[in-house]
Amino acid sequence: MSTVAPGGGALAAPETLLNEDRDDGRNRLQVLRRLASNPLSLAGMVVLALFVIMAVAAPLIAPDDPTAFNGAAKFTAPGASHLLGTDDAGRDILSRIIYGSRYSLTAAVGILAFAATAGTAVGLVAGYVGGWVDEVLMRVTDMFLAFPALVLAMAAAAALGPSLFNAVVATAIVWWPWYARLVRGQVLQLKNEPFVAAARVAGARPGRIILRHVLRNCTTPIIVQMSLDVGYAILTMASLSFVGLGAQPPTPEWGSMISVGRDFYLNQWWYATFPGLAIFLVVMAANLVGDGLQEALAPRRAL
Amino acid sequence: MLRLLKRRLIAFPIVLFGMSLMTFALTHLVPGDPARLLAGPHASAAQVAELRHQYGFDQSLPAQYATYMGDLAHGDLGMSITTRRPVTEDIAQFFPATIELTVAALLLVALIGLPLGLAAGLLKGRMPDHLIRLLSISAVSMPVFWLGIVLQIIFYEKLAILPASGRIGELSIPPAHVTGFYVLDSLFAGDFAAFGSALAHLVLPAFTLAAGSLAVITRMTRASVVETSEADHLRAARAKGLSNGLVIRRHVVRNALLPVTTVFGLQVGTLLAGSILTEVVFSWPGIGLYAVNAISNLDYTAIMGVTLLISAIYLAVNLVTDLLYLLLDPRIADAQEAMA
Amino acid sequence: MTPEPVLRDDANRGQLIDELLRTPMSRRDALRRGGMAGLALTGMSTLLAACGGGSTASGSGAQQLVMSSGATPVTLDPMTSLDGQSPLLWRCVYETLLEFKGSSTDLEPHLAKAYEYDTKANRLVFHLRDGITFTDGAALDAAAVKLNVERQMAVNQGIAYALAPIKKIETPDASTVVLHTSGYSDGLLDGFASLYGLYLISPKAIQDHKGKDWAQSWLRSNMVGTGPYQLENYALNQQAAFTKHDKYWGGFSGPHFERVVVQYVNDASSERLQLERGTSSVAFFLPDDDVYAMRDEQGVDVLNRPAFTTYYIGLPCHTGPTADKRVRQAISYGFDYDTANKHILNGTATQPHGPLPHTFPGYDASLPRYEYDPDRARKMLADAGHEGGGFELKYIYESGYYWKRPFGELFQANMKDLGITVSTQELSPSTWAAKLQDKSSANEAYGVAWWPSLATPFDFLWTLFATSAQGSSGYNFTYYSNKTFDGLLDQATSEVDKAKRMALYQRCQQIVVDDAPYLYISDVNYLLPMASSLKGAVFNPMYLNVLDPYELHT
Repeated sequence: MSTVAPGGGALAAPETLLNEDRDDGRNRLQVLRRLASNPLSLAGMVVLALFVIMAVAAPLIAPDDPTAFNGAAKFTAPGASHLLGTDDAGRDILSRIIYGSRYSLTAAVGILAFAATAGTAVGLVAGYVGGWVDEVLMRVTDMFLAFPALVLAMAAAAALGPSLFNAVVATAIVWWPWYARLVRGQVLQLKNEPFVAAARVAGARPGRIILRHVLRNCTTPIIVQMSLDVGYAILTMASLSFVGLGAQPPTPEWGSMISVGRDFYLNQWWYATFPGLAIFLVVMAANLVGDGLQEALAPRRAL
Repeated sequence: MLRLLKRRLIAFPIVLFGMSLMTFALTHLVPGDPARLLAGPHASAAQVAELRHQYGFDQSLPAQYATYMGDLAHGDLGMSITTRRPVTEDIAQFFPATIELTVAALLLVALIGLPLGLAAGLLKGRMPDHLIRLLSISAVSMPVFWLGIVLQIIFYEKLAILPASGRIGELSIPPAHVTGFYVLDSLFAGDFAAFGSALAHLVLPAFTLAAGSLAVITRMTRASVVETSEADHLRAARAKGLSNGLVIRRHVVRNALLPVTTVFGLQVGTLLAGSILTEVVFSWPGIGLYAVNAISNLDYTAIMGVTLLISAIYLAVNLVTDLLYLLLDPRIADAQEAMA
Repeated sequence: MTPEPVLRDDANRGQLIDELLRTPMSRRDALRRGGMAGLALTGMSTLLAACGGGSTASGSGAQQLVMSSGATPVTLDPMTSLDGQSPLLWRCVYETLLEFKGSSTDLEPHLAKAYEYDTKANRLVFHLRDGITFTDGAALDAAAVKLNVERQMAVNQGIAYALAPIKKIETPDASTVVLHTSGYSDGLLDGFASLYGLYLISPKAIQDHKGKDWAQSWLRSNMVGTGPYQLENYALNQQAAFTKHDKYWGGFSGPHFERVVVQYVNDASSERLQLERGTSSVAFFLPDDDVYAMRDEQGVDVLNRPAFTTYYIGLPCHTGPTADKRVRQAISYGFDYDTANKHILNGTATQPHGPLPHTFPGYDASLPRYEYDPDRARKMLADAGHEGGGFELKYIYESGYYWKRPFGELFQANMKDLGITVSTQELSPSTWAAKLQDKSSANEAYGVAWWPSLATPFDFLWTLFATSAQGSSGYNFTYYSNKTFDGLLDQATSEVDKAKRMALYQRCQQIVVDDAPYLYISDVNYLLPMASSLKGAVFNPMYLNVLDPYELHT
């Protein structure tokens, strides 16, 4: 769930599935084929693709303006005029969900990009340089990891002030240490590999070695980790919005729609139910793909 | 291994101290005027200033931090702005509810998750396995708060068979405080009606909270079972002609559950943090609801107190789990030592 | 549209079970059958049975009153807060010297049997009722009143501001209190009858726990008063229970509840269902939409009365385009008041003429009113040099007020039609206040609700409009400032003659309508859902969000 450590820390045990195939070129296609051959993962990919299309083409698909105020249409039940009903301002919920996919997907990508970049940088430095630099960086990392993810994200989001962007930053602040740890572990292993040693002996500068040889060989586990994290990123964002620390109403963000809609579940069950269903579907799809990817890359460890 | 243990133990207070600094910095970065909140909308500037002074909000940040840490050393977490009581008193009141909820969820996780995982692992690749897999992926994909709301709609609003909020019915008197767990205390008091009420109130929140961890445990158990049953000595046992049922009982279950037990430790921390959202949805008067109220009111001292408490427990549980893991599986210890 | 048949059915089922369990015999029976063995078997329905039965303190509901509230109290100490939720508890235990009579704003003596206010001599005299005691046995005498006034002034919170003119207190005999004031001040008397006090606390309790803080830490969670009930137990944010005060001076001969429970329910839907299913009799602080939806519910009556609550949207008057009065007027014409009152507030509010509620003393129906006219608004904007809008405005609101979010969303949509871009943000109450209180950085529009603690126009006009009430001094976060207005208001408050005073207040209102620092949107009725079986409720708009449990019965 959204409170599970990023990447389902407990679920994935990333270290063990790293890089069974260092030779990248060999089987990207093969992985993809294996992924597609799993019906669940295939379904996940299709659903995910649909949500992406929905996000991109929102203005073309959505039947209504997602933010227009229409007092007279307040609380229309799902039906012919509004497929999924309307909310307390008479806005069409279907249109809001369609537009909402933009916020959720963008936020997820933002969190992962930020966390992976920062985490990779720290991990590379810590792992490659070693010594007291490593020690200091890893203690700081520990400090971040010592907080339950959601608690820290909430505190950070509250401190930054409630907005979608700040919630993305807050979540990334919580997540980068996971990537730092992952990458550091990789670097420690790679450091002693013959080809890295060879490059060192050949007189390559450390920066070049890190980028050329080490970083390139870290990409697969990072990508796997990111694919596993997409769903959790969306969930965490939604959780922050739910407690009022993320996107602000009337932004059609799913978590914030649930947060407002929750007050009305007795008479207007559709208000909170449908946005939640959207979150569920997209996260499930992402998890199926991530799960499948993990299995395709490291079949033995797959759960 | 001993070296690793020592490092962990030394790091513990350092990390705790860093955490207190971080939480303090975070909470005090916020532009807020707690004194105004305390005073209420009709209060005058003089009244607000008076409170600001009384609570020490007019001191410099380092001074406030020093005061805070000094008090902390005496077990004093300061005064909450919203409840106007010592934070320790608040925690003492609200924490048992959270523990009760967490323990109930943990029980559900164990009672449902282990058998499911075992079944999935033993029937690997067959229909039940796929079904269980789909279920557990669904469970981790659901927003906790949404699951809670959907359960409320179904079991409370539509079917009207379970209560949706609070710890006990409004006509029941909370039982005298013994353990702080209403379910137990009502039994001690011999008040079976209160017991039924408390138990009924526990069902939906506990299930909501458990769902995510349930999925994790199920999947871990399955993986562990699969791995164990494919291990060489089991193949050997089967080759020796031992019946399958005996193999399962004697070897698979025992060997598979060993690593899973340690995962439970991690779930304690996860559940504790997860209780925040669950408590909000179900108005469960625990530390999570208290924390969210504190955050929305920027109640510095309360946020600090709760964050420190949850994080310290989380940290301690993780430490114990790690140690347990090291004891159970020394190979990991060696590997970790090599990496550290 | 509403799943009413289902609800009804549920309510009936709940009632049926309740009735079945009401007799001790069947309850024990149910427990023996279900509570123990059934738990493992059918689980849920038996749990409900056990839960529905509850361990009610009294067999019949008639003796116990359960009230639920969606907002938790700040403190039990009636002298230290001006919040909206705590008075519900205070008024079970504490009493005031004077009271607002019935549903009016007229004063009548309560703990005092008579009072005289000599405005020429600046002297206020209270004659106390004889033989009144606090629940700890202490007597209510002149010394007790003196100590309470001193405590209120010393802690300088709550209603203290209204008592500021008091300079000296004399107690010529045990039942007479003489207060000397520095001059006439409109509202002083109300300070002895208000929702916020002055409440009388046992002098013994104050002395015993006085310490350095005038017993603040003790009285925060303990109560000792003269009222009809005494605190039995208090679980923070969960429940407060009261039992009757046997020696209450009003007696307990009539139909009164013997026990009062206030239950705090965080979740609006649960609070609502508790009332609908009969486990509570009153539901405070429910969202407007829920209350509105309950009016057709069987067994529930929704009290719906004009009150003294107003909702405005404030505009920054000291900075940005809205510093120009013409822009503020344009915006005032550009807001859709009808949608706000008819749809968002479900027709339970009307647009007032000016800042005061229409039933409040000093209301002036002849004041002009801004009607929704977007074309006119656009033209006025253009005349003010903002052709097609083109500027941005932020609207901030604090969590916990149900109407502020949709009002902001409507404001956003309406302003979009004028070419003004409004962004909205929800903040915690303290961040909200902190942002607005800092004059140098405050530049936001915001929603504000006001209800008076004193029954005089001064309460609205000073707090929301006066230059001296800007920022944290009062509640004027628009930073509106008009010297003419300030001067007239000063004259009014010290004017002893009522007719002259009211005329001055009227001129003040004309000015603030023309200057339009706020959009005067809603004059809101007070809605309170109660069980139909509950009788005796008297609503006084000066006593908002409270009921006097002593008056209630079934």
